[in-house]
Amino acid sequence: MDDRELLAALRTQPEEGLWALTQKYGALITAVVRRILPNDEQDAEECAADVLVRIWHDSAKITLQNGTIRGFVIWAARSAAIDRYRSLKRRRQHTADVQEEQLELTAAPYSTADEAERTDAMARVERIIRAMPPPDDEIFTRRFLLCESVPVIAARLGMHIKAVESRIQRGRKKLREQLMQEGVMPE
Amino acid sequence: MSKRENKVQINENETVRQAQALQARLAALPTDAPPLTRAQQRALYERALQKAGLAENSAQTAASAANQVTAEAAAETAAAAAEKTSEAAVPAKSRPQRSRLIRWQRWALGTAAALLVVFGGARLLSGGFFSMKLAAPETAYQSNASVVTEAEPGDAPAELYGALEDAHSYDTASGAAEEPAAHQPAAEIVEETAEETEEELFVEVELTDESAVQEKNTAGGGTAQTPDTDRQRDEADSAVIDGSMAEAEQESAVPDMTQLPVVMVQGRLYYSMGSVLAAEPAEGDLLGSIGSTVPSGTLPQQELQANFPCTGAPCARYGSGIALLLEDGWVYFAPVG
Repeated sequence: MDDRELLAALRTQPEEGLWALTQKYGALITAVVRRILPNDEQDAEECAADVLVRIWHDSAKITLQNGTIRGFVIWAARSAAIDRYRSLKRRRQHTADVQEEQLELTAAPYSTADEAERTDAMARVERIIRAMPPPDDEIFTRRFLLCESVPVIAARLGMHIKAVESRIQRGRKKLREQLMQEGVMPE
Repeated sequence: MSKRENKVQINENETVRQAQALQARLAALPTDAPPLTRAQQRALYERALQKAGLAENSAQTAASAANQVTAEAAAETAAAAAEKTSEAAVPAKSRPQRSRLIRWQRWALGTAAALLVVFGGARLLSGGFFSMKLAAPETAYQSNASVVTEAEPGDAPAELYGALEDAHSYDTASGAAEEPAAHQPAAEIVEETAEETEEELFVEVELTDESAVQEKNTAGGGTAQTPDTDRQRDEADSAVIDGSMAEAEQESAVPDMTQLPVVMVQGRLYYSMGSVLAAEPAEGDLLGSIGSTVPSGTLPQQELQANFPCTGAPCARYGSGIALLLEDGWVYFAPVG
């Protein structure tokens, strides 16, 4: 079942659509969520189920990008996990120590009610990443959107861990300045 | 449209386009996502169904929807696996197998009816007059079945009971139901001829089979197929499908090691998905530090060697795997294989 059929199934036959969605993207959603909620197995599972429901709920609004909804799924999983992480942190129930820097690119939470806000956030992130030279753009995308660890990114790109870290440090400085200019982050 | 409105519209379009570009960027990036097992998929799916409010029909609907999606692909595999397994452990309900079950059931019941005729005829010829009432065992598909002959249970020949018991046990073993054993009295006993009984039995089997399918689909009532038994059957069915697909899943679950951080410690390879440990390994578990590296895309060949730049990183045993102290903290490495 390709993603066009998957979206159609979600709209017309929710049970079958959700099952197909689980089969195709369940692993990806779970992986992204677990990177943000690494020590909270039950919360991660709950969050992954939330993501499936949100995608089903938004299926009428989702548009295919290059014939796939994979990008939307990653964004939805990451945003939902950040929402839950912050919620757990407020209630002091979160034991994992996720660096806040991993989360700062998405100021706006995922909200089915506020699609415009979500679109704005995605557009802002895209502008920031697009302004970066390669391989910084991929490093940032992997670190801040896919929440991959530095060693994994270094191994994948064939770079030294220190080199990846220094690029992230430099990029974060620029990123903060840009977010402050846009008024997203307080000075 | 004024110039200002036009400008706002252009900005909105640009925002949407950029958001779409980000989605495309994300979609194009491969990332490590360990595949979920069938059981994990099922658990996640059922949780999502509950959250979506689509689980009114409980797990039965969920399982049948899931089965519907996978049934076509898994039917042949499940049937093949079911044949290899012992009867007690074969609750598969794929269509081909169910067809075989019905054919087998017909054959058994036909044989039983033929025996009845022969036995009854012999008794008549020998001058005996009898009226025998026989309660057929309740099978899964015979919720309303009233199986009727002219014999008393005590008079029925052992072969007949044997055949009927065989039919029932086969049925039960096929997961159709987990009813008590045979010889329970039927709800209603009517006297009929053996020939009529034979016909009725066939019709009964067919009708009750269809009604059972309907009951399953509509999650309706019925005494023979309760939601609990159906759920048990679905779970068992899932187990069979799981078993038949386990090998494929296991194969697909093996990541491409050369694309991951891998180290060799004590002659064994360990890989990492980047999980940072919350707790530090004990000091007594320290194994040394990484002494050399090989280029990424290859696998370490020597002791305390890694395929990513981490020379000097302390290494310690942690659970069934090891942990390396990297910039993020102690990163867990699982054993390969």
